[in-house]
Amino acid sequence: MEILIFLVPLASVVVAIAVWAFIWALRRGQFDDLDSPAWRIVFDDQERQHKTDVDTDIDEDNSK
Amino acid sequence: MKQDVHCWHCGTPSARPVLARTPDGEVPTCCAGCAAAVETIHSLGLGDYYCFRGEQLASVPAADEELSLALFDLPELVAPFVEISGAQRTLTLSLDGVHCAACVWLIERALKEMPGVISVSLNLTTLRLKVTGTEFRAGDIARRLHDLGYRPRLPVRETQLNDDRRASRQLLARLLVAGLGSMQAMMYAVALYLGAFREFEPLWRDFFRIAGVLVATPVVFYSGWPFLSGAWKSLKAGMVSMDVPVSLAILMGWAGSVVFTFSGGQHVYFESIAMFVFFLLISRWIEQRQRAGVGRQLVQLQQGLPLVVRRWQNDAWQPVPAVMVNSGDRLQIRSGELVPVDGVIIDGNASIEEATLTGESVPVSRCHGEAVHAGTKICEGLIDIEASGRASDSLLARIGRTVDQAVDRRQSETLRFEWIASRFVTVVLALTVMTLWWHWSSGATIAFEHAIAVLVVTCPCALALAGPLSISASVSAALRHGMLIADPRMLLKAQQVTDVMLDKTGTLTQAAFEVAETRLLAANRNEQMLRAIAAALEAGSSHPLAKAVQQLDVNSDLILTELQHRRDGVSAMYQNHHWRIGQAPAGFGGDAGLTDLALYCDGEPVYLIRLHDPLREDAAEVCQQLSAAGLRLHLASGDQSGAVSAVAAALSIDSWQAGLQPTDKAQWIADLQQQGHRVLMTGDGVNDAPAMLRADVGVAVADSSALAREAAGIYLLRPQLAALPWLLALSRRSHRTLQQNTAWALGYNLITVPFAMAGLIPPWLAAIGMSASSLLVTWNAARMASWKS
Repeated sequence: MEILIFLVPLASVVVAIAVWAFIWALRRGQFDDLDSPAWRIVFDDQERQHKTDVDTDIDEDNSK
Repeated sequence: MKQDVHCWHCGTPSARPVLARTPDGEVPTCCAGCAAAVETIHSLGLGDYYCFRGEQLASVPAADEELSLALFDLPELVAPFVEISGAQRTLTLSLDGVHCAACVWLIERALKEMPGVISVSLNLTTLRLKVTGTEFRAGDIARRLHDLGYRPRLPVRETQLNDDRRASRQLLARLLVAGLGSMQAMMYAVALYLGAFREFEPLWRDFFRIAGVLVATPVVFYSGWPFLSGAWKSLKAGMVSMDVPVSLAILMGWAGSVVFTFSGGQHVYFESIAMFVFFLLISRWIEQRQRAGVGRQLVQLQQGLPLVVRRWQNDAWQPVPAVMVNSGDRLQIRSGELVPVDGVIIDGNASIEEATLTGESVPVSRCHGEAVHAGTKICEGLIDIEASGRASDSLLARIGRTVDQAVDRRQSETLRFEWIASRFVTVVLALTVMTLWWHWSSGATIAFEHAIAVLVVTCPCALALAGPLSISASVSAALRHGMLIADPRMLLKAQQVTDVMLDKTGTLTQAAFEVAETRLLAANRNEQMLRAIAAALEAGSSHPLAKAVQQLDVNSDLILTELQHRRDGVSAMYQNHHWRIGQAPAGFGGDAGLTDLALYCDGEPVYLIRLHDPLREDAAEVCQQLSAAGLRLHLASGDQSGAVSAVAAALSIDSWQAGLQPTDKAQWIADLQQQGHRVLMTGDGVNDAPAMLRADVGVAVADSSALAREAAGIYLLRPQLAALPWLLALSRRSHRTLQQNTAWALGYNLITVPFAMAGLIPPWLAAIGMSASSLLVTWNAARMASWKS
């Protein structure tokens, strides 16, 4: 049981760190736009695909 | 009827598509602007935009805005929006017409390719664009954005935006603290419950309770602050808002638990209280997010155009914002531009369309010495005017201030559900006091516990949430259907409407003329030839009547000499004859609301051209739907009676009045209202603003003047009248949802309150019950958002 004397304050410290980290992110505007970041990752993918297409084209040209 | 084609870029249906070239072949668009945007996007290699974008409409590129783009070339105007750090400069712009994440992608890609630009970021929530780079010109950035179909603006209302952002961040922070806090409180509460079964030592019990105080206190006073301060404000104003019982429950629960913690009492309620605050905040946050989308669109619309004018200054015409114009300044206004301030013409003459002020669609001629009013549009010609006051002194601005006041008054009315909620709160407080008194004999602790249970279980949040949530869900459903509901009160009032009053020009008609009929007046004339001559005479004119005549022969390439524009028409020489187009001589037509022009050859009328302002394609169908729904239709117009009666006949509207002044329309509505009718007014111009303010519900159609939009409360974003019956259906539906939710909230309380008062519901169960009830109404309200028809 005595371990709780150590664990409960430790839990509080962890919570305090979590709150601090969240507020830090909030202040840096990371939660201001919740709509577009979800899509960005998809767009990047598509772009890479395009680049690969272009690369293979060049390769084909070179092989001729 | 021709099948409409939906524009590839913006989705607007169009009967005469303009083709745009893309690497994958030609695609149809609705106008030259959209076609140019499609081609620009493809030429930058960003055609993927069309794969990424959601269902939302893309932006419709604005017509020629060279003048307002010129603004971005003025360093002294742009300077306040540029931050300089070292060699890098960051420009902040506000953007119009951004709809989805694909727009963000497109804009960021397109701008990054420009020389001198290092990074670009666009926030989809605030619509603020930040461009960082070394050597770039604001004007180039603005032009590129314009080419893509977006409208760049110098950011205004920054303070409001910052306030909104701060408020939303703060709410999120409060929500998180409440969430983490209630989890911790719950953890200690479970320990206490387990301990209670195994007979805890009092020392351990107190240890967990003190831990509970530590986690619950920030939740109560930081996260719960919006409720506490709201309650305090309403009490100070002598009113009882829904925050009052909420705050009372929070404070009583917290204070009681703190007292019991240190006096070794029976129970502590930290976890119930923290959970209560957390759930309340979740609902608030959902509502705020839903509202933000609509509010953002609204702010963008209200900003309107930063009107730029040419002012004679230092021996040259300099572009300046209209707000900087002073009385006595000499301004130049060209064809197609809006008059920025009231003034007097000192040079030149022009035909001016005053439809926004008078409702009359045919432009009038104005020349030297005559007055021009702000908000009117130059159709043709070039005039220099002397401003007779600042932009804020103009007739338009004065009407605008009256509208503002009326809108403010309207928004202070209370809605029925708000009234019910405030009564409800009073009853709850009375019941709580009764509970305390009833259980007082069994000891303060017990009485206290039961009173808290009553407060928590009756928490009016189901009621408080139900209203705003179903309204905001309806509003966002409407937004997706191309309708902006600025004043939610209108939405609920719309289902009571009995009469619909329609404006003619621009609302039922397209406000663009077409040739209705032509007739040869002299024998032995080649009609094809006459058409070509008429079209050639009017070629190069942007007068609406002239544009219609140009359609007689779009390929006309006759060479005319001695072309002259005069007050009575256009004349020229062709094959040694004198040709003129002007008003038709008396005795021809004059009926059925057609505008008659005649082509004269050496003074003799040879060809009659009758023009009319055609109805919008869906006008007849919509009128039929509205009458079928049992609504009485009225047609109110400032136009002459011939044109109005023709439209009324075509749409079988038997109640119509013509030649109405703006105040006459409002008076007519007032008369109808006195007879017990509820009136919905649809219009587009400033002349409809008084009537829309007077009406129970005002709807401004697409492309309305800014003032009409503000007076209306509801604004159609697409040029489709079909939205009108849809709006009425939506209104009925929201009303029903609201009633269901209110009935649920009241019914739930009727059942639970007696149990809570009798002390049969512990606070933790009450908290669960109230959250379940809130979730149910939230879900019911949220269903509105995906409602179609």
